[in-house]
Amino acid sequence: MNCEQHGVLISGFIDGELSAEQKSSLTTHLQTCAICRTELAEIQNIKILASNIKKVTPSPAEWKEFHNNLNKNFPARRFPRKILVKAVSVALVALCSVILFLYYPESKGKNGEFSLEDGQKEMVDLSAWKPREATATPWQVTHNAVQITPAVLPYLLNEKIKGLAKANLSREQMEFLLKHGFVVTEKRFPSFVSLYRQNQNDKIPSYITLDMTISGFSHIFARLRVDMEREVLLSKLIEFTKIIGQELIILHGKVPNSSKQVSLRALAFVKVADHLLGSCHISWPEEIETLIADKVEKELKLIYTGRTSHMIAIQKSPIFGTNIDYNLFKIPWNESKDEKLKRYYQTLEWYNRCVFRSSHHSETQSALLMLMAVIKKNGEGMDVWQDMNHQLTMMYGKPDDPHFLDYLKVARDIYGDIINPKILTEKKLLDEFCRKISKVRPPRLRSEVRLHAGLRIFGERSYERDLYLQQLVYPNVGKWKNSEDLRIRPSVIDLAVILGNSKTKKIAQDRYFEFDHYREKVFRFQNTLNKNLRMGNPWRKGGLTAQAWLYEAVMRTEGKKYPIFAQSSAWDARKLTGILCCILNLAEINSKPVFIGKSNAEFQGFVDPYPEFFNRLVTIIKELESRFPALGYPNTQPTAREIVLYRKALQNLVEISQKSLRGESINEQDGKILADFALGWQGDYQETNINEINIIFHRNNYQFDSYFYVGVEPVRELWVACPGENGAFLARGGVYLLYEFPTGRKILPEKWREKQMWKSLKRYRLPWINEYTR
Amino acid sequence: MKNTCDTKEVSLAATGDHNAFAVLVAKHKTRIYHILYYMLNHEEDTWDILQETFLRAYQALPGLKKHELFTTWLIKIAMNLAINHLKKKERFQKCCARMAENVQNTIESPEQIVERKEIVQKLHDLIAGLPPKQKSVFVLCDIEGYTYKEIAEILKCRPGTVMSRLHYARRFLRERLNPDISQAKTSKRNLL
Repeated sequence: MNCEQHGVLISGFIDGELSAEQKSSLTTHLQTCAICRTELAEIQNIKILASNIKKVTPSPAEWKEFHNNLNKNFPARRFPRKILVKAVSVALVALCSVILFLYYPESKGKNGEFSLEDGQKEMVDLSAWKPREATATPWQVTHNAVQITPAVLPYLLNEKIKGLAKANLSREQMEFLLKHGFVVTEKRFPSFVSLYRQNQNDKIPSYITLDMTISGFSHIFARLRVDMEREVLLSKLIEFTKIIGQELIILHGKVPNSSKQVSLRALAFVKVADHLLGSCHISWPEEIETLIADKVEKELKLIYTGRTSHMIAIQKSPIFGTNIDYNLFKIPWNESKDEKLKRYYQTLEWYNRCVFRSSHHSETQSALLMLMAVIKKNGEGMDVWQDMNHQLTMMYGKPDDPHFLDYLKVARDIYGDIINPKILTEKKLLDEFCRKISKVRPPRLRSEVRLHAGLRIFGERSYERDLYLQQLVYPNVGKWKNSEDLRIRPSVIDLAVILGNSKTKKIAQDRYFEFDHYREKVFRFQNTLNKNLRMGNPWRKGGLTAQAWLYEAVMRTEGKKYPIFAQSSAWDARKLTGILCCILNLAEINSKPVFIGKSNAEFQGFVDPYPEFFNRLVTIIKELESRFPALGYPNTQPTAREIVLYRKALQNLVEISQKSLRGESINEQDGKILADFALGWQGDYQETNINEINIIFHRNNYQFDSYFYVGVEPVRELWVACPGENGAFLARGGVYLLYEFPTGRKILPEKWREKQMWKSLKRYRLPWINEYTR
Repeated sequence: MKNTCDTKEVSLAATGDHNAFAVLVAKHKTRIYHILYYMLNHEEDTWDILQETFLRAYQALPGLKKHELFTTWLIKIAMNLAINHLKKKERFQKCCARMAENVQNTIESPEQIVERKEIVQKLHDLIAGLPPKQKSVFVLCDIEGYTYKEIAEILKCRPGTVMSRLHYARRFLRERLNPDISQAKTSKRNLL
């Protein structure tokens, strides 16, 4: 087949309408034909654009006029000729009466008026609402990688390095390390060590490291989220609760008597949210309030007082009958000062803890009523929900369970476009609905979905770092089968599988292999890993820190199921750094690897030579910035400005680290930039947030009051493969150990400011650089 | 296709039950309105043809044998009326002329079209310029989300024909929209 014939198949391919044979033929062709690939991309774009076309919805007045016109012009029905002939043949009298009947039908209504609007009562039109643009454009980062042209001097490592024996390296590994590695010792580079110690005394970081930049981003992002919750999401949550509350009250009157309890459950659910938020100005009718008061009160009591000092406080929910951990409604100490935010957190927790289980008919009926409530009133509730869901997904990751969009789709398939509360009594259709909705989305690793699958209104507010991991490592990790939903939360299990861990592989086989292209991706990474690290293979045995982190992440388990990484908190930035460095860079190596030693530039610039890594962070932040307007978050907010400043600082790091890799010397201006970054970037940040800058360096959260970490320990090194022009080169990263350079003293803001007032940048050009470069 | 619940109302409406027909109108009016709106690109015409669709449907309903295929049948009536209407009024040629003008403008000043919304609007205009048969497939598939099989049933053709018409429709749009798409991509990239 030629391009023209394949061109026709492209449309079918995009719509998922090709046979296996056609698909395979096209896929093969696409691999070799750039023109068709472009056409595929552009046609896909047209399809996305077409789905963004907003449907014009006539106003009620226009519909009224339409109905009036239709009534006016309503015809006498002319039956098909054969029926008339048949009627003639039967009897003339009968024909006359039939014609009389047809031309003057009695069914014109009581007053001879025919109202087409009669049929609209109690109806909810599920087709009236269409997803907005936000949902149609998932988080897709376009990233332009920076070019790296390393210029590296050969250097031989001294075998008698103190501590190297502890690394327990194989002979090949040791040979590799001796050939390509280097270490800094006091004897060999006295001026460097002297500078390092001086910095240590002055509480000034000697390096700008990868995890420092991750932590910095994470830190600002965390505040940005809280800011966004206060400025944007709180009001949306109130609006959403108000809409569903009011619509459920209206629907309650139309619910058949046999389903009243179902409706009361939905109402009680919203009433709890209403109470947690303060008040959403819903006018609750007294008779409904009386009926739900008892359960609502019990539920609220558990939320407010049912927690315990134990880690878990599981109790049966009075409204749902399922077990809920009421300790989850505890508010973190640092977020509880703002009363409004406190209410927001508790309510969001309520929305994301409760599941209307698809395994239970009555709960599914309640979920269907909730669906009707959000779609009613021109889909107003759904619009607000979609906005919120989009924002929450972007900031916290996608919820595991089916949500309103899934329920809408299945409801349309089963019940058609127009539904009303009477459908709740149709048992057969309800059976079918439950069956279908339970298959909408396969359960994921960290969800209790197998037991509690069903409608969950919003997702969890946690695990934000996974998002970075995904964006950095797996920007296009895949889609759910038969779905447009992108995977938002990759897990370390992916990495574990890539590394061949059998236990995790088994878990992955059960669950994750359902993702499209999962196997291919895993095999590709494994092959690259094996191929490129065959020489050094620092991952198998020994004491290299990256290996230790990686193995800890993979091997240690949380409970019985998950690697500890999945639940990590204090160490996640470190683990991320190690794992990111390994996988991120390896993922891009296509050609033959070129292993070379560490660039000498590293010690000149005080910055780890990872331009591409900084560059990726820049990309992520730019994406974030571009989304502020859509999120309704003003660019003028201090935190928004701060993250822009941070991004600019990172952009500078990209340039300087590239320079370092080329072996060029760092000039005064660069030195100033590095110092600014290390000491807190210019602008408001350095003035106001000295403690927060501290946190950036205090990667071990629970000890941040007593320790102030600076730089790295020179003997222990993390080796990572970086993408170079002709493949990979091995680079050294920071080593971050718990006992690393604690000073035991806190730094005062005044002292810190003093430190910033460096009069000269001479220290950047100290003699140790010359010693090293010889 | 979502015909599941219609059978009862269709049977009643076929015997002359206006209330049953009223339910059917209420149920399907929005969907038919949307299809016609994109087919005709003219609001007044949309209302006229919408009314005509339901009037024709009411008249012809007793002749419908398979009541479960009511939706398909109704969309087919709407589509036929829309295509005839376009042909009669030679709106198609006018739209083409207008579209050519639009395309001309695009080439002259692509920098004016940087916003995604504007591109969507442009696409909307370009759809009006599609030949009727391609347009009907495009509207049903890309805007209304029907499958090839369903579209084939509505338009009484083979799914393969649906695919090829869709291909030509998308190619038509792609060729005229291409500068815009490239622009959108660039602007999106800049934002990232």
